[in-house]
Amino acid sequence: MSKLPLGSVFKIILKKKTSLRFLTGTIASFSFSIAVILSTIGLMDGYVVTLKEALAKSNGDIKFTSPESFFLDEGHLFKSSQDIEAYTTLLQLESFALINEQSKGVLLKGIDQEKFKRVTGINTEKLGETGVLLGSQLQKHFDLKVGEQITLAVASGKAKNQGSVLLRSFTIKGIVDHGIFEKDLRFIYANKSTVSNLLDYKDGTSNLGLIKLKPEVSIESALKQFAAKYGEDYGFEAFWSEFEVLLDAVEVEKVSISLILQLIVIVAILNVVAFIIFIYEIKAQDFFMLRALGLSIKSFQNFWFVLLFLIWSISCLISIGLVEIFTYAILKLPFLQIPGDIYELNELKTILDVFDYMYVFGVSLVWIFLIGFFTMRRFKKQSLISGLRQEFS
Amino acid sequence: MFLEVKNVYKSYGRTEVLRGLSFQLEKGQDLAIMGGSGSGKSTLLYTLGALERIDKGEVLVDGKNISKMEDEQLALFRNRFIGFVFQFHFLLPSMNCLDNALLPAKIGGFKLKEIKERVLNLANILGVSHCLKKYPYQVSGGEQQRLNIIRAISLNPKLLLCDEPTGNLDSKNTTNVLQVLRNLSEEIDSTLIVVTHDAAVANSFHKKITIEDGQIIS
Repeated sequence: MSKLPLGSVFKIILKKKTSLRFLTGTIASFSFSIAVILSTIGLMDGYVVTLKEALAKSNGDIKFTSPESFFLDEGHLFKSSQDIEAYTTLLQLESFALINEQSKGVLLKGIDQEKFKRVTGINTEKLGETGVLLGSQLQKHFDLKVGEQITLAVASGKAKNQGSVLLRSFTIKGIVDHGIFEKDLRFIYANKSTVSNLLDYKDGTSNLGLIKLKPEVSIESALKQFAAKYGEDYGFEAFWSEFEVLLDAVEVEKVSISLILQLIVIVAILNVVAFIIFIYEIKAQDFFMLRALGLSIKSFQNFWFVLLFLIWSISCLISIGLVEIFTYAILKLPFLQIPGDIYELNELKTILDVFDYMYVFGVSLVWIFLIGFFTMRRFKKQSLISGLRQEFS
Repeated sequence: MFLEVKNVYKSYGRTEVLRGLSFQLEKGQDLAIMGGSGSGKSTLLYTLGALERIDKGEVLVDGKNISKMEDEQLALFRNRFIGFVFQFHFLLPSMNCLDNALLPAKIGGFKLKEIKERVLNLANILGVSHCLKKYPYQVSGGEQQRLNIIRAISLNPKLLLCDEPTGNLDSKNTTNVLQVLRNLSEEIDSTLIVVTHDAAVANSFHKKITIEDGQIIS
């Protein structure tokens, strides 16, 4: 029934500076607690997404290997499959990089540049016979520059020289950034034919394959299909398989931590309750008057719920801003940046999708209305006159 | 019968405030309720004004049984049917006196233009036109009480309930305010019920009841 403008009620509620300060504090604590949960979830999602993106960058969609370690690729593997957009095979082996009397264990990956680019998207400089590409962390580790020389030590593949070491100098043609710390520190790319020749292997000899699927094909269904069709010759894995356990753990952790962090929201909501009680007590006389003049309990409750909704909406908006500030800080402030050697990634930022926002905002909305509802119920039960008398007693 | 109070009981926790109270009032009569502090006279007034629900009994105003109304109906009833005048004025400090006087109209969703005209007219009659743009704390106690009366009668209520309306005023203002209440209630054909401590004030009413321990004793 009431047509009393909301503005009038808010004016009554927020007339005193104390009320306004209390409300500001309430919104600040609520938005901060929402931001903490969003940032935590965002960091975890950011970790998963960044890791998966980085893995896809070096692995394509699907990796395959042979149970016999080496296999021959003469350019017509999986010819009958309609799901594959491109594939490439690699010849990779453990090696040592030697620079200025320092050495580091690396993984030398022999690639077919054109095909590798089509599968992974990594754009490589023309390598030629003596060129290599270095992972970005390895380049930093040795402080190397494009055009400088690097010596690689590999075990000889020839039967008669088995176990002996082959040393070969290469020219650095470019730097590759996979986004995964370990890969950037360990990977060196050379032409596949160069690696084959170095080891005296037959052309086409490979020990790893990468597949890029057509966009409409899901990885899970392709894995099943390939296993059924080519399972005897090759083993297939999704591009994230090497970090699968870690990714699963992060997902579980995300749910657990976001549940635990609800405690912060509850504490913030207790501030909201304190605000309601504070206002109700200092404005008892005004509320009594409004009721006496014809404001129904229902209309009165509606005003409270609108106020709670406003507190929630403003807090949500502020929390989005706080998350942005946090994301900026972890990317730009050195002391907040994550150690890549521990977290695998070179850089980590918060990534939040619509579902994350809906989940966190939705849960906080449920909390605020639930606790608001019970507080309202308490007031509803209390006699208006007795409340007023208590106020003036 | 305009007002019928039948065997009304009301308690706050274990404290019985009204104990089997009954009386009647005909249209055109006004009523003074007297009693000591804590006798239950204000609770009775708030019960008549549909601000407090009774535990037992019936209250009929102009044939409407308000003890059986739902909250929304009671709110509508208060807005359209009742005018309240309180001892401590209860003008809201967050709005100016004109907005205070227009509050019942705003709450009830009335067209403000007509009500505003009426309020301005009443303010003129009661000599408080100069107060309308001011906030309550900027006007005197007597002026506040007159503004309070304007708010109470702004929607022409059929029942005008006053809780010690002159309790806070000096003798000159008391006489003025009572006279104003009488004149205005007659003008708008409203039934006036006043809670008072003052026997002289009570004696000037058509009907007078005295309450003690929640019961009518005279």
